[in-house]
Amino acid sequence: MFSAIFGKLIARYDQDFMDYEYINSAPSAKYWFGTDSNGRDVYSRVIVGSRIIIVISFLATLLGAFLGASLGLAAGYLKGKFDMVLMRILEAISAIPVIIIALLAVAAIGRSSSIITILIIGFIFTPNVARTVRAAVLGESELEYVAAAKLRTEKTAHILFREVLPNVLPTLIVEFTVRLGYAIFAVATLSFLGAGLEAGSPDWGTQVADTWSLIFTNVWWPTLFPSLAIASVAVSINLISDALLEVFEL
Amino acid sequence: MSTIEQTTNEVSTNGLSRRHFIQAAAATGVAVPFAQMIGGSSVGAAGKVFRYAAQAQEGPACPWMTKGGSLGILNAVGSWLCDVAPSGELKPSVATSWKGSNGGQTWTFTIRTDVKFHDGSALTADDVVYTIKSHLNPANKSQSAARIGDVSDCVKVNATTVRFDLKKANANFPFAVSSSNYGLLMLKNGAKGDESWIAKMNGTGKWIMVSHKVNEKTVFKRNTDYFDKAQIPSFETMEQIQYVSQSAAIPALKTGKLDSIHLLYGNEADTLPKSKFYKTLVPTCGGLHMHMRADIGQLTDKRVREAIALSLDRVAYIKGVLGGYALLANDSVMDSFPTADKSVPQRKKDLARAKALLAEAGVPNGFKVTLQSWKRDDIDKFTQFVKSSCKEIGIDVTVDLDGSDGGGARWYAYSVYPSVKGSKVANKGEWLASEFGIAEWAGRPTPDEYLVREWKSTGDWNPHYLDAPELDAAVDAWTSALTPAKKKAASSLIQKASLKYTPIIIVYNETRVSVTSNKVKGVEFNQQGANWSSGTNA
Repeated sequence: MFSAIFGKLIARYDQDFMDYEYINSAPSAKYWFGTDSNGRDVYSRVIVGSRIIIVISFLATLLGAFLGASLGLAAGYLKGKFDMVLMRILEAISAIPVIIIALLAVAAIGRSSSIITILIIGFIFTPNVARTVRAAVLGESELEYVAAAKLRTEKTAHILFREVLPNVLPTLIVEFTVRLGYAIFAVATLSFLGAGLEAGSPDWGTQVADTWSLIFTNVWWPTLFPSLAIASVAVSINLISDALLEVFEL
Repeated sequence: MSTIEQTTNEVSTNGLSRRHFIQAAAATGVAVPFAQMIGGSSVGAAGKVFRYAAQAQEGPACPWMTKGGSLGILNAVGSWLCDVAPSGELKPSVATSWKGSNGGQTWTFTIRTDVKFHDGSALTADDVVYTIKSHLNPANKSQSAARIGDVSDCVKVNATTVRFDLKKANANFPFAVSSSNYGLLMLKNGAKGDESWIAKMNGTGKWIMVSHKVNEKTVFKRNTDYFDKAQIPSFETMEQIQYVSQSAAIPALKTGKLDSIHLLYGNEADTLPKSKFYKTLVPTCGGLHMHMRADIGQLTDKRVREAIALSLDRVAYIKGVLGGYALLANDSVMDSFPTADKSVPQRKKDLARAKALLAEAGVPNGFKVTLQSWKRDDIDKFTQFVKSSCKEIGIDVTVDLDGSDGGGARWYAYSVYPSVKGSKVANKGEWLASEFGIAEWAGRPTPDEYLVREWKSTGDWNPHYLDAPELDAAVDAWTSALTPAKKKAASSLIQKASLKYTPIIIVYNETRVSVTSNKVKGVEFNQQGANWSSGTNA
C-alpha cells in the first residue's frame, strides 16, 4: 500500500526510462531488481505498478461489493419469487469461469482499458457478494429490530440500508477482503493474457506477460519480482481477511 | 547485358553482396557458418522431418488473399516465374530467362516445360497467363494486384513464352512477378486463388501440403517431381509451427521439439549455446514502418512528425535493445539499397530541436496520442521505445496493440482498403485508419513495392494519407528510371522528400535472425522469411 501511494517518490527511475547500456541486466547496485529487455528498471516498475493493480483491484471489488450488497440485501429481505429468480440468475453467472467471462467481454467490446477491467471484474464479483450478503440478511430479517422498523412504517430502502446493512457489515467487509485478493489475481491474469491494461504498462501482470519467455534465456529477474509482488499482496490480503474473521467473530 | 538488365541487377541486391553479408555478421560479433548460409548445401543423406517456428498468419494462406505470415506456407507449396534469393538476387524458377525490350515497357519470359502441379498436371503458358490475369481481375480482390498494376496485358506468345506489356517502363518488373510478390505463385488455369484453394494448395513448389491448421501447424511432404532436381528437399517432411511470440518457441527448440526458429530476437538468440545451435543472419530492407496521418488528427503538422523522429535515439536502440542486429535507417525505404544517396544527412536524436519544432507547431507542452499496431515481439519492444522517447518531449503515447487472434485481426482488417484519398476514418485500431501506427514490412529485393503501394499518395496501402506531389513525382521518377544513374538521382529525391515530410519513420532495417539446431545443416531463410533451402540432417 505504501508503494501504491508513494510509488513515484520511492521509484529510482521513471518507469518508462530505457537504459540502452543495461539491457537484460542482472540485479545490481545500480538496478536492484535488474532491467528488462528494454533496459527499464524492474524495481521502479514493480513499485509504480503496485498502484495500478491495487487501485484497479480495489475499485473493481468496491463495485462488486456495492452491486452485490444491494442485490443481496434486496433478495434476502424481499424473499419470494424475486429472491428465487435473482439468485438463479446470479448462480448461472457464477457458474461461468471468471476469466472466460472477462475474455468474452473484452473480445465483445473490442479493446481493453482500466475502466473496462474494473467493470468486468466488478460484474463478475457481484453474484458472490450477493449470495454472501443474502445469507446474512436472511437471518437478520427475522430479528425484532427489523419488525420494529416495519411497524414504524419505514421505507424498504431505509430498512435495508440503515437498519440491516450495518448489522451485516462485518460479513460484507470480510467478503470484500476475500474478493480483493481474488481481484488482484484476476487483474494480473487479465493483464498477463493481454486483455487487461495498456501494452507495456508497468502493472505486474503485464510485466510478467512481457518477460516470461526470457526465463528460457536465463533472464529471470523481470518475471520473478512482479510475480513475487502479486503473490505477496494476495497472501497479505488473505491474512488480513483471516484476521478480520477473528475480530468480527464470524 | 542490356542497360535494363544491368539496372535490374544493380538495384536489386539490396546492398547485400556477399561482402556486405560478411561485414554485417562481423559487425554484430557473430560467427556465422557462412558456408551453410549461402545455399547449395541441401545435398547428402536424406533426413526425415524438419520442424521450424514461424510467425503467426495475418491472413489466409491463399494466392489472392495472402498476407505476411502466410508466406512460409505459400513458399513451400508454390513457385514463381523467378525467385529472390536470400542475397536479394533474382534467380530463374518457372521461367528460365527473361528479357526486357521496348525501353523496359515489354518483358518476355521463357517458361519451363517440365513444371508439374501437385495434382500431376503439367504447367503451361496458359496457366501463367491465367495466374497473372486472375490477380488483375478486380473481382478477385487480390492483395498482390497493386504490385503489377502497370501490366496492360499478359499474353501467351507460344507454348514456352509469355509476354507482359506495361503501361510504362519499369526496369525492375521481373521482381514484381517474383517470389517477393508472393501471392503470384503459379495457379492452374481456372483455379480460384481464394480460400477454397487452401484445401488442396495445388501448387508447383517443392513441398506438397499434407495438413494445414490455421495459425497452428502446416505439414508438408517433399515433392519428388519438383522441376529443379537440385532443389528437391533432403527432408521427407517439413512442419511449420506458428507462434505469436518467437521467444515462446525457445523451450521447444531447447528440448528438441523444434529444429529451427525463424525471426528470433538477436539478443535472445545470443543466449543459446553455440555448441548446440547456429545463427543465420539475413540483413534486409524490411522492418517496422511507423506512419503518421497527414490529413487528420494531431500529427498533420510535419513539424510534429519531425519532432517525433528527432526524439528517437536510433543508434542506442539498435545497439542496446536489438543487440546490433539491424542497420541504421533514415526514415525512407531507400537507405539500404545500393542506389541510396549517402550524402543525405542521417537523422539523430535532438531533443532541443524536437521541442522547438513542437513549440513552432503550437504544442509546446506536447499532447496525448495513441500508437496502434498488433502484438509481435519486435513491435512490443519498439512501441515502448517510442513511448519512452516521446515522453522526453512531452508527448504522452498510449500503446494499443491488437492481439485478438494472435495475428492482428483488427489491425489488418483493411476497413478502408484500398485506402481512398480523402478518407477520414481514424483511430479504429486498423493499419490504414490509425492516426499513428506501425506496420511490419518484410524485406523486398527492390524498393518498388514500398514506394508504389505505401509511400505514394495513390498507393493502396498508403497509411499516412500525405498528398505531396514532390514525393509522388520522385517515386514516378524512380519507377521509370532505366539507368543506374537515373535510379540514384530518383532515390536522392525520394530520400530528401521523405525527410522533408516525414510521413513514415523508419528507425532501422532489420537483420532477420534464425537459430537452428546443429543437428540440421543448410537451413536459410530469405528476406521475407520464407524457408529458402531445405537443409539436411547433420
